[in-house]
Amino acid sequence: MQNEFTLSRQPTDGDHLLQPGVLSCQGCGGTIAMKLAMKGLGPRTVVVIPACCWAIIVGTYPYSALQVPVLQVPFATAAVCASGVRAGLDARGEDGVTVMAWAGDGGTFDIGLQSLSGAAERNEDILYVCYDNEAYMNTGVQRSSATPPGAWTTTTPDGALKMEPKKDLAAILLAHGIPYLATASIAYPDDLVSKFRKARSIRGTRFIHMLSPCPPGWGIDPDQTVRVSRLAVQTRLFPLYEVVEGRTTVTVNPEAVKPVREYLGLQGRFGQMSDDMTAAVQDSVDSRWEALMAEAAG
Amino acid sequence: MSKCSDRNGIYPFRSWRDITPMLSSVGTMRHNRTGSWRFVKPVYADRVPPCQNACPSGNDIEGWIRLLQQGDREGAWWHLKREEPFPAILGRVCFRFCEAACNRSTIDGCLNIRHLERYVGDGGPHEADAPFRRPENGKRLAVVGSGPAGMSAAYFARLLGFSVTVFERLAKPGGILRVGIPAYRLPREVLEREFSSLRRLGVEIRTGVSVGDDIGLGPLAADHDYLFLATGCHQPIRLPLEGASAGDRVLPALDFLRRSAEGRPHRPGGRVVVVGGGNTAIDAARTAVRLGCAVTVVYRRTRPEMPAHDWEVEEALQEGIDFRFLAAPIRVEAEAEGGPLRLVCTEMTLGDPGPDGRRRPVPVADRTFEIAADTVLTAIGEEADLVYLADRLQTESGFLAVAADQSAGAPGIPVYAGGDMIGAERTVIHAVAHGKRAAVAMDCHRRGLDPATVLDGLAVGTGTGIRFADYIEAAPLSPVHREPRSVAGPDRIVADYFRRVPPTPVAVRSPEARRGDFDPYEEPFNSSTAAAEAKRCLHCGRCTECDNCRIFCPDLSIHKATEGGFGYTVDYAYCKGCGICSTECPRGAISMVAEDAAADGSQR
Repeated sequence: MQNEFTLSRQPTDGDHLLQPGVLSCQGCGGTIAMKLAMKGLGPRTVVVIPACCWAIIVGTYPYSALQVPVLQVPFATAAVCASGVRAGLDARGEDGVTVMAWAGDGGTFDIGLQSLSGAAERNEDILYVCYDNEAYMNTGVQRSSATPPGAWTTTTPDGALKMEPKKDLAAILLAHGIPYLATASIAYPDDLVSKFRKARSIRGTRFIHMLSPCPPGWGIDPDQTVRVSRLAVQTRLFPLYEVVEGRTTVTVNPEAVKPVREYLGLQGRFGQMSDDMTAAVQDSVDSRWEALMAEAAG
Repeated sequence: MSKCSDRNGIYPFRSWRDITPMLSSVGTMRHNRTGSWRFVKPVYADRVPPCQNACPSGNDIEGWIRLLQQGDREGAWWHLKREEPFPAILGRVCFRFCEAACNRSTIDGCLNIRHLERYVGDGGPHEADAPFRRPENGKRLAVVGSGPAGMSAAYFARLLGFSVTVFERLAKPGGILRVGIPAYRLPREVLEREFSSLRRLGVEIRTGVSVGDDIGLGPLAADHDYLFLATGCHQPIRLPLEGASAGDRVLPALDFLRRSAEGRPHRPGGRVVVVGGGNTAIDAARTAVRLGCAVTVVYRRTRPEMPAHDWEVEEALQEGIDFRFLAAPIRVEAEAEGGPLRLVCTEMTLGDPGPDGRRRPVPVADRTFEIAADTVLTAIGEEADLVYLADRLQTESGFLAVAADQSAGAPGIPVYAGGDMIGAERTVIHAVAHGKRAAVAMDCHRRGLDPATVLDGLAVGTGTGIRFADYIEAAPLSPVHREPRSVAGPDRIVADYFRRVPPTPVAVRSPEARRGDFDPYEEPFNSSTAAAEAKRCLHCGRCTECDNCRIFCPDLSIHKATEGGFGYTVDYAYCKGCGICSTECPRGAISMVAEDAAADGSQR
């Protein structure tokens, strides 16, 4: 378990796999996520992208900022198209290629869930990554089932904030018995890169969930992306852990635990939250952390 | 897949035939110059670390600690020697303003900068000539007083090519360093070594010559082109104590310290009472303890108001010194001629705060008590002796008045002054700063430059510190865009990026052992403890190539400097100006500036 948050200097290999000119907004968390993910995966990777911010960020055909093959596929089909690419590579006898489905929370928690569940049930040999910015940001900030309670979106405006808890997607995926599941944060690049390296070496359906701050959608300044990501971990709201063959390990145990209001208070989307609601979020964070620690101990 | 590796060409497609029939990715997005989205841009900017800002002399502490961290002890020494004359002395006696400002104290305790400086100072090549010394300039400087201010002016002026003669009234040079600071804080061999190093540079020291008695200011001026006065404050303020005619038994603490330092210690008898709460009082008390006395310090306020450093008070307590707070002596009584003394004190209480913010002591009516003593040492302050100036220079409330460039007027030749006699803050490092400023000012005078402008250009941070290195080197130390007035304070530090490492312990001799002699009581760092402590430096405001900016940049616009170069470059063709690099820089070494700013900080 990593106890302190320190960064090691990153080698430059893998840097060229994402080239500048990307169409992301200023301070995009999802772009940092892809850049670090590619460092972990290396050049022998195929990326499958459904409708999501990244379908735009990567560039317009025939140009692509990613220097590996990218397939843009329909919204609901990331997991199944990735499975198809895998089958094609297998048919051609191509070894050592990682097929990564890279989808937002809309394409994972909501629209792509059935195809993801199907692929996970068949234990398809794919890596499925959800970069979760907690709403349909690409189309202008609409609520998804990944939107946290208390958050403003255009479909949960002031006075009608979302009250339902965020869908526990990790539990759903673990119920499929997949060999590898992890959470990762752009604020902890060493942890993130090592999880992608590990995922690359495992066969079967692997799932990585990344919290991916969105400055315009979350109401933060673009320079706050990494800080907010770090606070999500330091407040234990988004714990960093991995589950390998059913065994849970917490990979980062923040030394200085902070109250969730520090995380919430930084973001405009939580500006309407009452104190009671903040306290309820804190309670839920605490009990989920305890449950996670119990699982890690068991 | 083969076309995917084409990452240099911006427009690899000339016609539709170049496009692969399979719908997969090729080419890059480099034609999309996202830099045009930017309103503010990041620039690498050296800020002033708070230690350097707090140092009255503007010492580049981060610079020599960085060299020490790289295992280059000699390089660290030369780096130090660019900004101060005697690191081994300051590494023992400095009041360490730097440590009080250290950002590390907000994490796990400040860096032990002074002890590191002692380590560097003790390991330097004292025999060597300074490689940055300028050729002789043909001008002669006379320095009056060989204390820290005088020797600092002598050193820096010598580096600038002046021929320097120092006149010292006493038989041995050093001023307050020799006669005021006890040997357990500054061993005499350290003083000798540092001073002989200055002599080797060509500084001539003439001892036993009292300016005023043996040679007048006039003849001195006739023989020299510049004059630097630093005769200190060696006149103790007498305590108006009734019955205080007890000869040798009621005497100023400074006299007691001087006699002890000159090797003819006053034998104070078994019980010593020291009156006062400053560093001289504590030095005298701890010296008396080492001479085998039982010591009581009498101070009219309480411990928090003491001008002495709290750590010195703490060490004095450990050595068994008794403190009587809220007590003011009013008279001395003797049982019989030559018999034991009784110091009669009145009890005090703290009233309203005075102009200096400290609460004033107020006597409690009719509450007196007595303390038995064989000797009473008074340490309530010292004054400058300005009689030898014979009114030729302007004085102000008992001190010599100087301008910002340390100049005190020009009766015949330009005269500069520094140290305790000018009534500024009276510490060794302030005195060193005065000497440094004065040396630059007189060199400016020699070259026909305006000293105020030059000193202003050399200023570092918000205090009085200047970068002598930049004056003496043809080019500044670092070609990087600097913000010499912007301090990297705690708000610029991202503490999350620093592992908690408590200060490296320094072995200290037991109070019982150190009461028995005048040997130093702190063990020095060795190479491994020095390396461990140096590694704790946060390098506030200065790039260390930690890689954070490059790792986090979402626009892939930050690149390592080309081979052999230090730091990074920003590719402004693609930087969108999000500011993540600046916000996540652990040490505040990246600024965001308006897009039209002309600052050239694209490289670090």
